[in-house]
Amino acid sequence: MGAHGYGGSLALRLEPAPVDEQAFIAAALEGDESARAWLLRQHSTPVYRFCLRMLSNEEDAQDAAQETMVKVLRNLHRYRSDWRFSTWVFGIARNTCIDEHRRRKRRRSTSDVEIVDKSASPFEITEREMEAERLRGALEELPPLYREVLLLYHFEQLKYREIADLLDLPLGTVMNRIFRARKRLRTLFDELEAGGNA
Amino acid sequence: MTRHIPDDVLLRFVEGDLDDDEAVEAALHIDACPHCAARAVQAEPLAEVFAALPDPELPVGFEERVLAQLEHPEAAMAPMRVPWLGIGMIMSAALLMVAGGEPTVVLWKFAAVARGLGVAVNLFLNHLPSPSAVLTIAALLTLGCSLTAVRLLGLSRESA
Repeated sequence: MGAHGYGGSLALRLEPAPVDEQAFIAAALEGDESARAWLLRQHSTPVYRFCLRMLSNEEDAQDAAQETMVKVLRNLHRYRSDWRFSTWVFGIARNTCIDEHRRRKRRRSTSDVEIVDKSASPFEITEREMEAERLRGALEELPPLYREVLLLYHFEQLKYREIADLLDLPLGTVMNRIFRARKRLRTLFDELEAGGNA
Repeated sequence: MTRHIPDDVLLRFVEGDLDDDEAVEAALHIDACPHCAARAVQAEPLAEVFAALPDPELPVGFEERVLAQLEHPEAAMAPMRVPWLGIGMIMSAALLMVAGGEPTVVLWKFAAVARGLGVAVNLFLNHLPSPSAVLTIAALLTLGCSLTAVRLLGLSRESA
């Protein structure tokens, strides 16, 4: 342990899923279709968002997100309640994205990767939107290993310990990866800003 | 009682400037302390940009498609676009077995079959043909046919 000793319990604290979610999971396992639909509704958007930001392609993201949600609902019996349900779901989404990325590499060269075109007119693009666009660009430039940890922490609100469990890596390794990813992202973001202003 | 992470330490944490043990300790504290977690998020220079990134909209009909895929798994299965490739692999392997030959040749053929099986497994996993798969099968089939022909020719000469 370090010298600071912040107090409080530093033990692993994986918060259990909210009670109602556990109830929905149990009901879905019993064959309740409305519970299954509820789980689908709750997790589809975060999963699609994660897949889109990992794969940077709407079509591939849709395939990966769909495959993820099918796997989640088919394999509910494998879910262990000592993990947060969303952490388990993101673990499946991550593996599916890795598979999709491999398949995509075989299907087409990286030069064909589609850039998500939001088609906003120049008049509609505010400074905030330009920053968001630069962030999207910087995230796309990040190596997948760095991108996934940032997405999981900053956008999907997983805890550091949960990311370590999901990636099956020591927490120290995950922290180093996150620090390097943040620095790289900031550099890329600044470079895109400089490029945009040039 | 919980002591929060001091500002300077938190800033060094966000910048990745703590040593490994300190960083792990701070991370565990942040995981357990919503107050410090919020401060750490705010200390990230790109925090506002992160927050401003709009959420993509779920494609229309997404949930219906997932439910349909669950109801009709056969429709959801990725089609085996090239089932004949697997058959080709088995035929190649069978031909090589029949052909027999000198130990060095057998060793070489074993390597070829192993490569072929690797390609077959790859195909099974990815459901995608590749030029190398097609070439490997073509080479194996040619080799198998040639060796079988040589073997049969040798047998017919022996019997004559």
